[in-house]
Amino acid sequence: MKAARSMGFAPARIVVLTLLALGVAAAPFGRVVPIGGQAADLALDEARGVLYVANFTANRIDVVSLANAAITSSMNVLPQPYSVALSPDRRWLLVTHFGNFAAPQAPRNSLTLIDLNSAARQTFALSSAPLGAAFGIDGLALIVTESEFLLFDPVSGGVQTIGTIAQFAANTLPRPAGEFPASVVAVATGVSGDGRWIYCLAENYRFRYDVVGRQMVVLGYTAEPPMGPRVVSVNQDGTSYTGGWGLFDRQGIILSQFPNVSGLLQVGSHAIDSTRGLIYVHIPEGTGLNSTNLPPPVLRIVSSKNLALRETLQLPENLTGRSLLDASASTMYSISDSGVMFLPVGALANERRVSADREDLVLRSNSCSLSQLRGQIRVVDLSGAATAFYLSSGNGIRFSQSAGVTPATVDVIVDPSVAAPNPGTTVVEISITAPQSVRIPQAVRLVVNRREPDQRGTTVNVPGRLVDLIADPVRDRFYILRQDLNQVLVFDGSTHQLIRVLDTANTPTQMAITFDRRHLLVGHDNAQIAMVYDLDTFDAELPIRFPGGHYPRSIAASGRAILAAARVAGPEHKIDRVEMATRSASVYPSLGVWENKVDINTVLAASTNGASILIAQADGNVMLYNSTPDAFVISRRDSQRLSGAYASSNFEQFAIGNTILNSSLVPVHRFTGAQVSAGLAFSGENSFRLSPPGTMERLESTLATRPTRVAENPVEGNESFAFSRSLAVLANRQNFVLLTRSGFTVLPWTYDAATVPPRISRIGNAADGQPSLAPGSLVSLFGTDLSPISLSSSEMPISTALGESCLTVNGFAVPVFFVSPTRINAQLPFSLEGTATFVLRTPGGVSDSFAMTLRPTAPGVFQIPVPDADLTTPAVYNARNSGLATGSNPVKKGDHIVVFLTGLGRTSPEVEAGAPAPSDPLALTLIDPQISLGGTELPVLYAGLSPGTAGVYQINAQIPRHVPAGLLIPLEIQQGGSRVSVNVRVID
Amino acid sequence: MRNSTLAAVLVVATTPAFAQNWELGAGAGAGIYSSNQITAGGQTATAGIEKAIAVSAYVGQNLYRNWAGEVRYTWQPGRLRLETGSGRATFDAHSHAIHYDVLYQFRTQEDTLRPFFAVGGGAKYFQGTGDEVVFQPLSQFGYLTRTAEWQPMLSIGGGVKYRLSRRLILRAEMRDYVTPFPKKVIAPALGASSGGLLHDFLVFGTLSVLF
Repeated sequence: MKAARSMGFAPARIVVLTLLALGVAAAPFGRVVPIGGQAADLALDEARGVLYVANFTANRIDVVSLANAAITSSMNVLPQPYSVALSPDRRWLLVTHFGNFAAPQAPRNSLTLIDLNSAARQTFALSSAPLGAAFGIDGLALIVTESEFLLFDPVSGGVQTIGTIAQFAANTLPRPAGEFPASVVAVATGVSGDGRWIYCLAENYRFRYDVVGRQMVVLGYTAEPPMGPRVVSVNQDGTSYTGGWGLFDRQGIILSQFPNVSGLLQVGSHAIDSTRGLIYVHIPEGTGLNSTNLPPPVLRIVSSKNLALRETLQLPENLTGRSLLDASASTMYSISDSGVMFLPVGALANERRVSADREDLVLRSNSCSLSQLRGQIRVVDLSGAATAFYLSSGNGIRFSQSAGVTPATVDVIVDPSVAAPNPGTTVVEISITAPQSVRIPQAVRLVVNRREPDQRGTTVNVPGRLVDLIADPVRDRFYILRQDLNQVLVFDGSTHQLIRVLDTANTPTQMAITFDRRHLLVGHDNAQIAMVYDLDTFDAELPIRFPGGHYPRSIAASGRAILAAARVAGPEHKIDRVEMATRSASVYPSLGVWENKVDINTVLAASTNGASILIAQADGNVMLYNSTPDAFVISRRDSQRLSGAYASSNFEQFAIGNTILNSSLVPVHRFTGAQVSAGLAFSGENSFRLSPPGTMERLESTLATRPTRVAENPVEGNESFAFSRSLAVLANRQNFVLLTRSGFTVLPWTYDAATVPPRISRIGNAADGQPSLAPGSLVSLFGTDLSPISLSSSEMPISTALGESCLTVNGFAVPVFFVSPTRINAQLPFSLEGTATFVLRTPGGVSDSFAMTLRPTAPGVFQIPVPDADLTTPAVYNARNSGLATGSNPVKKGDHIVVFLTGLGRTSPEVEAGAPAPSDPLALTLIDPQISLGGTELPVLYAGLSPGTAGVYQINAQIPRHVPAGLLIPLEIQQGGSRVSVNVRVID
Repeated sequence: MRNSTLAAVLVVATTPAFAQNWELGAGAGAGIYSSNQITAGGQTATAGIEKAIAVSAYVGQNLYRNWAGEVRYTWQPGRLRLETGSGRATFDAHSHAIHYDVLYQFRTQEDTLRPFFAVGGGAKYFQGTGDEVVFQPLSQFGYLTRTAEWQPMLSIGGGVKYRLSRRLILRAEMRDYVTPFPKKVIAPALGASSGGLLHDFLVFGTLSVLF
């Protein structure tokens, strides 16, 4: 069976690995139309059913049929057509020619105006290089040149200068081989769907042209990495647009930006789908990218509000410039490596898109359990089609089918070794590969929790990357930031149910609650705004706008000032001050007597009484803002580096990492342990610390109490963020909430109430209680507080986990079949030899070790309780009537008897502890026992494990005629130097 | 058939008295056993055999004018019992008794009523026949066992013979079968003490034939 399973598994894994090696994660989405040159721009003429493609290097406008995705004709034009613009009435096609040749060649900058009705053409020479053109709703074309903005009237041919640009220098031709038009010209324009707004993105400048008001606004900017791809896509009404890797509002504030971008100008594209509230975007992710090391191209579908990822599609090749959506947003047309790509985004519902039915598969067990964990995932194709898929994961994880066709329900079988070395929670990915699917399936996060009995708390699964946690000081709620989906998750403090989801901007990093307790503020790493939510209505209010280039990663509200630690797109990161009234922020010129210059990894923590804000920096600097003088009163640096958790108390105590600071930020206490704190919180004068791998400490008067292990590990840190906040005290002071690996863990306030650890006082075999044990023996542990409950199990094989008690012998969990406060019954492994050290774990703690020396054999006859009497009788059965041999059912001479024992040692064949003994072949004792009755040896007919039982042996023997009769005739069993004797009644 | 049997009896009853030294009889009755105490752990249980019917057969010989001797067999199906104030255990059993009694008979053989005393000895075979149970109630006192044992027996009794005819005698009699307590069949538990004699008081009505 095992062989068959592994044979079935191996080919699927090979297929998956092969596909991944080939970079084939999914089927390509989109159809490529090669144009035999380098496309620089395109214009969509739906009325004529064509697309005009500026073929920059072939000096022509290729006309591509929308119906059959093929070039139907080409219009030869002047050299280097860089941009094309179609007038709103679809009569005029304006072509700009970037012929900015450097000497000795003569510049050939010009315009071509094509009357699409008559096919008449006019050309206009330009004195400076045209960088882009776009028609507004007024029928005039805005032409951006390297020195001025021109308004061009296609009807009259008149040109009006509406502005000039200083210090703008366009590239000159020729360029090094391999450059694409987008990086040659490095300017892009875009028009809103209503034609009223034109935006332009150039090197160091962004422009906004109000078509109706005929006003041009020029904004300078710096960007690192460069603002690529050099594409502008505007929404329907012009209120926001994507340019390069940013999503801007009309004023040019970065509402959100794409993370981890390469900055390549010539690779990538995006288009805003205002109808669906989506952006289709291809931006290569990674640093140090060039044309030779680009990742496989993917189209991400993200929210147009905050760039939250919805799904990812495989592209056949890179997009390399402008993308346009048709009026119904059913097809996106993009410039691509080969020319043009048609992407039927409106018909995605009909495309094969394989997905799992869940983000997380959570499997929980007792760390003592050595049995496999099982769960299920369902793999579906969202289009309803039957699509092949393959599953793969780490070692120790198997699937009922590692390859299949959707829809399919797959059993996930997790070997206990997956989590064995790491008590708590282990996270493993289950990868899904579907070569026919255009959607790249998201991996399922397999969360395996194998808590030990003394690990406290109730865990609640919350998928995603959780980065911050705060409790509402006046409402019975707590808030968790889910960074991967740009969400604030609002949970009820009593029921721990999710009650609201609030959308943030991109990459939320930290939350704060205003001192009036009315608003929740959220800072971001990829937005120059802080979100503001009304905590009574959950409405998103006008966000706080930060100075250009300021990304408010951390924010805190005191009684007087609201401060933000901003990552600044520049050499120095700053502390900004927020004005809630104007929803704006300004940079402090200085922080009191100190420079306003902070580490990029800076976090702020306000005391809930509003008195102060702690500023902790990863470079070791700490500062304190005091709201009474409204000043920064302390700045110290007592360590080289700070990281981990941080908190401020109402009693002028502060905590960073493993250090408690006094009101002067002088370290006064250092927590022991190598691991830096993951969570710190103050409640009253108590401080609480959560540290990896999952330990809570309560600190009273600077004396650490006994650490208490919690159910699972804290969330893992993020390399980009040195600090974390994973612990909150709820307003009701009844619970703590901890951010942990599978979501969050709730701890009762009395989580560390005194508990009594188990105490083992005696160990004997489970048959007659004698303190002699052998491999495979059933054992009884006697003592106090061995288990909080009484529980027995007849399940086969015997589980190593029963109740909340976990028994290990020499470090290995052993099968347990009965637990009670005073007694535990278990089976020893057959492989055990020599000294056996017993350790018991319960919610109360860990027992002291109890050592026993094992003998090869140590027979003990089971004792059967006599009903209604405090007596036992040995488990000697009379085969004549299948009854227990007792005084009232004595054995007779000539009878057959069956004696049930434990401790007869190893057998052949070997049987695993906890497993039922086989009946074919029978498991015979390796060392033969001798049995006598009243001194007369009995012929042994069988000695071995009793089939179907675990750890129970039986000896079958016959009573000769000449044994003495009597009420108490000794039945003696000897085996390998061990001896046990019981009395039976023998009659004639 | 009934007429021919009656005729046969009448023929026997009217035969001459000269050779009437032997008496063959059979009858039925009932017996009541005495109880014995078994003490265990400071508590006491009553052990014994339940009252039951008895059937008996005998053959006797008139040796002298007033003396006679007879061999007698009695079968008695009495259940073994253990009993305390709150519990009771029983076990099917029966006994076989065989003994020889010497009878002293008053008056003469020709008298219609003839009282007699009997004393003798023999053996009694007690046999448990019930179904064994693993845990019998009151087993702290003893075990009612599916086994058998012989015990010596003293028989004391008496009765009266009523002569129905020359050859036919109706007897009303009683016996006390005295045996040691049968400790195999009713086995005292470990640590339990018991002992003494077991009396079995029997009353029979028999019909015998002289020949």
